Amino acid sequence: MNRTRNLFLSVLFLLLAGPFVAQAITVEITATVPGCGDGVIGSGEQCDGSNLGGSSCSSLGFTGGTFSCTSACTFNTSQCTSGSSGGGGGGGGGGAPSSPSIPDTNVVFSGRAYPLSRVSILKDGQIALTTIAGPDSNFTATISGLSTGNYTFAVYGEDKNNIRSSLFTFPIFITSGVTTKISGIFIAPTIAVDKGEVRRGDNIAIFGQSAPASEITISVNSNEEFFVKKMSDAGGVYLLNFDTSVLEMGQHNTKSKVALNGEISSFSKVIGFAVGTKNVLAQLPKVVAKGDTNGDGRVNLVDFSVAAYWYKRASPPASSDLNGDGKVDLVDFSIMAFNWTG
Amino acid sequence: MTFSYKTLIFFAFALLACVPYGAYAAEIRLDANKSEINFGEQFLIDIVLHSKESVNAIEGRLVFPQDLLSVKEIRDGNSVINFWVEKPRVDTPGIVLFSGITPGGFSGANNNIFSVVFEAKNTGVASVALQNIKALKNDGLGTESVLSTRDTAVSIKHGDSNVRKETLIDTELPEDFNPTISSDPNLFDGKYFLVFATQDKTSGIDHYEVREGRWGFFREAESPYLLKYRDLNRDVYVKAVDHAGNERVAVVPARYARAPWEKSGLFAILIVLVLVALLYKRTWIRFIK
Repeated sequence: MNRTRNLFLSVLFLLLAGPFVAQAITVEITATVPGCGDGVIGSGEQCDGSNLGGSSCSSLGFTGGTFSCTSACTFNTSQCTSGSSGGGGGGGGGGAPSSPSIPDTNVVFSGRAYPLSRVSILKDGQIALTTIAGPDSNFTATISGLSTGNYTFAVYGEDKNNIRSSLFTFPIFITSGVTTKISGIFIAPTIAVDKGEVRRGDNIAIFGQSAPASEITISVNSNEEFFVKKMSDAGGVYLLNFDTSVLEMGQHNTKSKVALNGEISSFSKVIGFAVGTKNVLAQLPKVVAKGDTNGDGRVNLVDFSVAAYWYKRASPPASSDLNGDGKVDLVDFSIMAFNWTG
Repeated sequence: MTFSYKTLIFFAFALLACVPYGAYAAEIRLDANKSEINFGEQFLIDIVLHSKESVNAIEGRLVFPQDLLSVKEIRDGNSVINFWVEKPRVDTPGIVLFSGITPGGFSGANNNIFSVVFEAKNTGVASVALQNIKALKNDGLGTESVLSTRDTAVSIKHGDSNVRKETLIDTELPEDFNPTISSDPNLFDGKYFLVFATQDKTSGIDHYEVREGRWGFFREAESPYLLKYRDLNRDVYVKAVDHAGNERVAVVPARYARAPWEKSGLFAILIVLVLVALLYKRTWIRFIK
């Protein structure tokens, strides 16, 4: 009877407790669970336990002392010494060592987009923040918590029809503890046409949005390039009815740029249209751009990852093979980078 | 009359400098921080792009004599490239492959692509060259930019036995980042996967590790990463580790209600143990009856 009982107990124990043996092992792993107190410096933490991330009193501007981490995973500099030698006098001064403030590393962006438009700022290809421009099209935004090093920032705007501007990209070297101000960003106008094909001699409407009451230069590219200037209205909208009688039959491009108070933008995206024998209405530029493999309206790391999976593999899907040459190679990634939204 | 290696290299580069580069829209060159080194010494070669027009994609390979040089480290911390299609790595002996993009493109002088720390294994003249280089314009079509390349050579001789290392102090954590869970019919049969990418501005990212849920181990992983648990009811932790060992952990919160053992941790395990004990007691009583 005892033998049977022992056997039953053993089997029952193995069946029921088996999974928890594994759990018991993993319980010890709680030490590595990110969060304050796990010894791993996670998001929003300056340090964790004895893991100080390489910081010290001296790296924070003190002359010496004991540096530690608080229970809230922030730097504890109370035992650091500032070593302000000599000096005497100076009344007051309680006993606590003076703590020099740690300057933030910020980048402040300011410029013009379109009235009340959404402006997105990308840091190294990924959206760092979005903001809304004022009615005067001006915007200001700040990105904090940066390291010392080279960054590539990019800015783009979306107009009232959700048409996106081209990316305005600039690489910058950021120094720790310094606030870098980038002003004078002038986002290029958006642009669209009302016809994909226009009968020669008829008008084609070229329109878009930019800063209010600003001078828009519209280029229509043919054998000879035509430049026409228009003023945008109070809402930043511009419209040019271009007479196509001066254009040859065939494919043409148009683009625009804006100038205001001595500041000038780069050219917008290029929009194509044909001059032919009939009029064919055009659709507004697609919100879903080439490179948006999963159709979520954005071209970002997800699309890049899907395309990267198919890089140099046989029979890639059409959504990743952007130039339709039967393979995913650098050209497809270049097209994706051009249409990137982050 | 004999010429030293140094003199020969000087004349070779002086000659190259006379070649007009105005005809090219872009130039990619190798900048060695030393032209003459001792056996066993380390030195750095930067791969640098100068471009008059905006380019957004670059690929190619760096070829070096494997009998004279070995790669000790590849640094991409300060690269102008945001996303690597092929992270610079020694693909086959003597060849470093690379391929990557920068959304929106870049132009101008002295854009660092990446750097390689070499160690001299033997004496001689080590010629390091760029091959199959392509830089594509940021024009939406992937048009190839007209490109020139400038290679380099380093003279290795017997010298003092003190080996000089190319050391880099990195106390900064990798950049904060936001991993994303997604699905796509063209990847992993539509199953949920995780994508992640960040930069480390000093030494560069060495690798990533992923842990699904509150319990378990971090395991080395690459993006895109096929999720093992696709109920999306547990937090997913992604750790970015730089070449100096600094770590940054980002968490993707569970999309749906967390499983009890995820939510309550030890408390949940205790409850289960109590339930098991009760079950055991009832079963045993029935058994002896």
